[in-house]
Amino acid sequence: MKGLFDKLVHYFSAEVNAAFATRIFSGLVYFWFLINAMMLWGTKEYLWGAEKIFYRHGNASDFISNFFYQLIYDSHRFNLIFGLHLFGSAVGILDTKWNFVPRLIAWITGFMLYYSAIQVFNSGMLLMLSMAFFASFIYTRAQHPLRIVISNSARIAAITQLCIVYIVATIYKLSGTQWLNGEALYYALQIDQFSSGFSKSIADQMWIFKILTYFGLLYQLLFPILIWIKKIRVYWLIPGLIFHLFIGAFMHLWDFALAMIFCYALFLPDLAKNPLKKGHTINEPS
Amino acid sequence: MQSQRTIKIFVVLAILALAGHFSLVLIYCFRDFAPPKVQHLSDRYMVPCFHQNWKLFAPDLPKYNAELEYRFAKSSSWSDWADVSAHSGFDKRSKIETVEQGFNSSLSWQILNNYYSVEGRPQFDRLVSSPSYADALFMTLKMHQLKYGEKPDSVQIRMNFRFTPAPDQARNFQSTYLEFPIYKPEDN
Repeated sequence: MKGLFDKLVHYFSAEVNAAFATRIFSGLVYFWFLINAMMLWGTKEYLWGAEKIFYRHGNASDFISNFFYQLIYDSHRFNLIFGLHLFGSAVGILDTKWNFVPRLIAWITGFMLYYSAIQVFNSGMLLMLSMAFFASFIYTRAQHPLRIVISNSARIAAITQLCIVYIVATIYKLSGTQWLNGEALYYALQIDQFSSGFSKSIADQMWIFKILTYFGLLYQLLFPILIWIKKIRVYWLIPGLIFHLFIGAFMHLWDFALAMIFCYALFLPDLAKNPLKKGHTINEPS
Repeated sequence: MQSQRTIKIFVVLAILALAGHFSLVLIYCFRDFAPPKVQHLSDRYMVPCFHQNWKLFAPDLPKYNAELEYRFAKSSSWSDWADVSAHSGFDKRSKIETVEQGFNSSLSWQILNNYYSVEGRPQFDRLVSSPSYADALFMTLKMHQLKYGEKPDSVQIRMNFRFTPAPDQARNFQSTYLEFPIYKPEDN
């Protein structure tokens, strides 16, 4: 038991694990916020500004909630908060010693923007907000043992969070009938928002929808298990990549698709240690 | 150099923090099945900082396509019905349409649960007092004002439902409308 505990302490505190993958992942999280802000740029005045289209309901009772919800009632601070979000996201891409400051700014302002325009966001934003909190604590060049423990804990938290996304989504899907009948994708692509002329034109080819529905369900079911097997990890991500690219291309949910794909960076092989990539070296601090 | 003892304590604290956080995350994700006290505890921790929802098209998708439409009266003549976001120049892929679809989902839920009839007459009292109706109406009036620069004398919204046929049935899409009572902005 003591040996196991010592191994655990060593795992958490010896060095930042999977430094390359973790660095890419944390950079991509904040890059996603920048992409998302650009996608919302044309409609930002309708969502948060003077032309806002949301009816403002009553306020919350406690300080923390009101701090996060403030844009719901007061749009005057929108430009400041949106600007801080852009600043935090842009600087947060970098992996520096003090990056937790801009990264936490991006996370807090991201939630402020989210709560005051919930309807415009999907689970992609929620996933990136969850990841942004953990990524705030990541510094892959950390040398101090306590900072290393924090970075490794944040990486483990991000991986666990991604697995929880798949586990929860699968359990809810298994509790319905459409996913088990293989009809879920058929019904999804009949909704105008998620469909295109092409997807409607193949509506009578039910076998295609059944295959894709079962593939999606099976992938989500197996992901939290197979992702822990190191030998197949990278290959296991390829069908997931295709799955999420399909969601982006055919269901027009690019924000969600990119959020999921960016999280896969957590499992990238370390180019500095991978013999297949000879010649590629990552300069780790001595 | 940090003492080994301090590092060990820090690792234990980190593991406890992770275990505690993700236990509350899981409870929050399945909050409908948790006892009220546990539900309250997870809500207090998760909202607003860690709110999440991973249903992702589950358990089932709606078997209909819903659109929010409206018509308005100006100088005692009514306009034709028009899609709220499309009428203002926003297409199916726009973020404004995404917002409209969000309102449509909550208004559809209200219709399913709070639309009833008394002696054969439809009753709208619960629907029009719901936040979903207020959201949809506010968006409609705002979009109208942005397009025309003025409030209409009266406005009426309706939900246009196009039902998806079952996969093994002929591809006949049936549509139905639910018209809400007329609303006069100047009265309120």
